[in-house]
Amino acid sequence: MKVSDEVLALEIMALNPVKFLITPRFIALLIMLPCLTIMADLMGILGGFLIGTTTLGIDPVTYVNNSLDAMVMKDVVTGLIKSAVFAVIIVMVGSYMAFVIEGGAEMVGQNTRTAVVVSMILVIIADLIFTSLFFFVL
Amino acid sequence: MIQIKNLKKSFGEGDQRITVLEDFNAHMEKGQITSIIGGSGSGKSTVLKHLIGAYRPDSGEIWIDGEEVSQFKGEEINRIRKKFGIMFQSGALFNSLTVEDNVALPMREHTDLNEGTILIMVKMKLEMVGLRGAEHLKPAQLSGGMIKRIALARAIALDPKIVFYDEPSAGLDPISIGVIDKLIMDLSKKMGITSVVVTHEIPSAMRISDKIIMLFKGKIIAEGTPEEIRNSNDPKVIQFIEGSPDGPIPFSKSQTDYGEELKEMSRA
Repeated sequence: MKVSDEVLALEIMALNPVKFLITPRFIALLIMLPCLTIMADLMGILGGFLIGTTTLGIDPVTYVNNSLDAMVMKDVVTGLIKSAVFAVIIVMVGSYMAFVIEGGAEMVGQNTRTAVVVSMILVIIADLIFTSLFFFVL
Repeated sequence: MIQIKNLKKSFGEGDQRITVLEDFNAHMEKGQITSIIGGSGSGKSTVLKHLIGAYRPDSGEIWIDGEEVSQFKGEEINRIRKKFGIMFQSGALFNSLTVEDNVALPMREHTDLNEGTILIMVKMKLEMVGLRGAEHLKPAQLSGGMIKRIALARAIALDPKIVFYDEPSAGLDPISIGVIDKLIMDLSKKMGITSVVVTHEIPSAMRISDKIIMLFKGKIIAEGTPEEIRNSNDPKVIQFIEGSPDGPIPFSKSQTDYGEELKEMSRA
């Protein structure tokens, strides 16, 4: 968007590019990443169920009961909080790298790569911090 | 309407410092078309970027509509920006929006008009550029010439006093260039819009301009009506108008001596 002058076009129209380009992405990811997390959680349980019942010979009812027993609300909630934090990190890094771009198509590729690497590292760090926070403090 | 006084701009640091504009003075009158022409790297786009407030001058003043704007920021610059429209070289339309939404965007954001009125206004602007009926197309479905016409419709969406054109005819076929030229002239004459055109398309600049400013390496080398430019005796101006590959503006852009460089390579 910046490379093809669209960001400049917004500014010249006296419109705030942050409001137009970052805010919608921020809201979208803040909603969708927790949703994806819930989906991944369900898929994990389903995967365990399938393997457990088909190859390990665990009784399906026992599997479900034991899973529900072992899971506490805190697990789900902390997971969702973390996913929201990751959403903020991903949007911030991605948008920052998109806005500081100078030059042509080559830089788009480079900045995309940097954005992916940096946000991945930051997500791991945030994960560490929040996990230990939830584990030791709560 | 627009007055630029002793504008100076350089880029880079220390030894790498390159002066792009030096003592640029210009006066663009109300309702007239002023073209800034010059080769690549002559500084003409830099002038435009200063006018729209994307760059800040090292020194000098820019007066738009009676206000010195070069040091404006934030809300002040947005207030000035609502007075003008710009047509970018690439069009800079928003690819995710339809033509209608693209043209309506400034109106939706900056006016209190209701949706029905906005759609009527959009239709009027599209009729002005001869593309009524293209409302529901996406920019990707348009040809180069059509993109520029839509960009122009968007630029005049808020009925600005000033319209800037960045290379309006670059990359277009002769007929599309003719269409864009006609649109620029119509807008200036019928609506009294002050136009500033940055271009390197000499025939087009000659056709539409009331005044032409020719830049070479950041300095004005000629200024006047198309007739005066055509009759100029300056060899640089003549070379540019005739498009001769060699002349006072050299063919080779290399800084070093060719023979020396070859000798250097054979020694190594």
